[in-house]
Amino acid sequence: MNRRDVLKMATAVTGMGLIAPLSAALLAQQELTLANGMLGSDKPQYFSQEQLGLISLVMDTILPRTNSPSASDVNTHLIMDNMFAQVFKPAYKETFQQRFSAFQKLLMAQNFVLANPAHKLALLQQLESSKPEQRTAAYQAYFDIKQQTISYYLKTEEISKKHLNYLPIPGIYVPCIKVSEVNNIAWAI
Amino acid sequence: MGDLKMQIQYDAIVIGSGISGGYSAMELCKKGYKTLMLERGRMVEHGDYPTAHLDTWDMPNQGKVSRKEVEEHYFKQNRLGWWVNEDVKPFINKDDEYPYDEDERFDWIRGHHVGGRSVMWGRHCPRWSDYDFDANRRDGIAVDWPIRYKDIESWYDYVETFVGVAGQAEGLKQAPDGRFIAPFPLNCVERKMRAAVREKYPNRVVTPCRTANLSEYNPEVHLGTRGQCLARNRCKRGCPFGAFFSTQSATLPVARETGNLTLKSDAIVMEIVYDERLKKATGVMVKDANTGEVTTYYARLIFCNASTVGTAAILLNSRSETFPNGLGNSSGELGHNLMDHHYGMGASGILEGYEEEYYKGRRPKGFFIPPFTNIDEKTKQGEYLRNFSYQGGASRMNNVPEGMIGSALKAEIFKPGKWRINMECFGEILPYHENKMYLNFDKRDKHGMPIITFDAKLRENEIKMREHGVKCAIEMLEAAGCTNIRGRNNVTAVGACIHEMGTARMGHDPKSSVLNRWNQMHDVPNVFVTDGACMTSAGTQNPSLTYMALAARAVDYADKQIKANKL
Repeated sequence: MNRRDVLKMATAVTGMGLIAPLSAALLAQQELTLANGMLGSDKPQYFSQEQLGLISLVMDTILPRTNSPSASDVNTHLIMDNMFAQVFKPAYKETFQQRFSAFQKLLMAQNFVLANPAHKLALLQQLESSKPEQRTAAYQAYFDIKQQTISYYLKTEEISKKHLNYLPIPGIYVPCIKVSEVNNIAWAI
Repeated sequence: MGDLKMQIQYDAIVIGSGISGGYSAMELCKKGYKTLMLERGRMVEHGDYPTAHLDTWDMPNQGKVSRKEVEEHYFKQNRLGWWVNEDVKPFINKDDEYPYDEDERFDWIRGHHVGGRSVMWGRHCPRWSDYDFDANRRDGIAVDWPIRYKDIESWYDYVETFVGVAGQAEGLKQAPDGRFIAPFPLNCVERKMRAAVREKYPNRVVTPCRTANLSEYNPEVHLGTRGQCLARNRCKRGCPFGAFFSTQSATLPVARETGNLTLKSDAIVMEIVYDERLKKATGVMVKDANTGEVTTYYARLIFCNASTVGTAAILLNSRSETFPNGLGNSSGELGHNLMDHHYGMGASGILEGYEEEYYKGRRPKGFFIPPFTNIDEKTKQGEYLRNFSYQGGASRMNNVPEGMIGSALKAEIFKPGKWRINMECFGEILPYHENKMYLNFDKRDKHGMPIITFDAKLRENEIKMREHGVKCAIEMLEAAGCTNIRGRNNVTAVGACIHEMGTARMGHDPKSSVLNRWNQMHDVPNVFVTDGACMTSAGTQNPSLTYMALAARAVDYADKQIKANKL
């Protein structure tokens, strides 16, 4: 994604243009985050560019880059976009879109896109911590994205092979071992 | 002309190459019969398993099949919601190529290719018991099985030895022990569950599944292209190591080794040819699926192993002056008494603790809980006849602590998550005459074959049984100490368990059954049916082991009859 795309997307997501007084640092940070989220010439199949950009930001807040890749580093947003385009049933997609619309409004109202990572985290943490009776359509959309983010993330080749215990041909089944024997790391498959 | 005759004349013809067809053909070949095995689907040689080594990231759509493809090709096969995935798709029929109709929904899940469903079967191999063989007589339902456990016990021994069934002896009369190789043991949590359940419910036994995977490979008895199970749990894709029993890995290579086998794929059996004068079947009429060419092959013996529904369809389509309603159908029972196991019920729960415990490798099957209700006077239920069993397992989930996101969550998700125990209930469906499949001769498929139509449903007995099945599952999870227990009772259509049975049942009386105690047609003595069509009741057991035992027994009987000039 180039700088112009970032500006265009930020405009759509926030509902306002990025004007000159915004600090160059902030813009650069956004650019970096968004550019990491949207890879090269990959075009969304199902979501709009703006929607997928926002999803990518949400995913990277849920699973940021640490000593392991972020969610968008391993393309979880593109996987999700593909699943909506190719696999999910119309009824689910419609329900999700309704919920996502509410989620999008909530994030826009709180300037999520332009917020710094700590602020982003705090905003989503609020949703994450909501009590069952407070769980709105926006929460449901967030929850779906979170579930899918983790699921797709753990099934990527990068994460499976480098950050989980990947053993394609175990050779033998051992019914009981201690987690310490595998460094408390889960099996990839 | 002589060459042509060589090509169309055999000692025996086996229709179907799935688990029972493979066994019939192997036994016939071993006894010296020049045998033609016919398969309507494409050729699949051992090793032709294109997804066997694929990981999720190697497949499109996270291993799911796209909606477009489902709507075009798998609109019935995919109704179960769990079966049609990229990994097993190469072995699932396309609905647009293999149509069928339904008066009542019937999930007819199958794959037309050499090996049939033996390539992707469930592999759980419990024996039938006298509880099952005596069930119809005891309950006054349908007709009595013409055999008892003693008639088949040695054949179970024989087949299990060759197949290699991993299991644990428990000494239960309702689930007789077999000639087991070492079990795939219960894991730590399942062991706890076994002890806790047994303490509270002494007649409920949590034991390792009795599975046709080689926990121990013995090349002297596990003949063919077999090998040790490598704990990959990708069995349903076809096993390139031959670690589970299939036509490709076991019966086909052994049959070929005899030099007596001819295998023809893409060979659609249209009908069995009956000679009114000889009062015997003389051969089968076959259409080449690719060229449309029709050839009649002749043999002294014919074994029908085209699957419960496929066999009945061929027999119903084999109409003659003597049998205007289908070959061997003087009883009118052909196509009726269609059974399966009912499914979609069970429970799951979370077991807190045991954080230090884990497992290594992916075993091919989990636990088995044999039936424990209605097995004697003490366990008799007033609400329903027969019973149910369970299959399930305990494993660790993804670790996704609630309330956590960001780097804190990231630090957690690579760890093993909480233990979850899941158990699925398999219930018996009674043999109702009203549950049937039939042929619609006014509607034909692209090969000109009449369309198979299903009219079968669960009835009151099954619905009542389901409630108890779910209740007992919840009780056992509670006994094990689970929390967040969720029962489920999603009524399935007949066929959903992929254990269809009963369309040409065995029985004492030719007036009410199609086959005798040797799986031989009452009406046509040189035709044998040793697939699921022969079953007189359904039990709760996965049935393939019984088909194979009956097939081996029937071949032995036919051979003796032929040698005694009685056939």
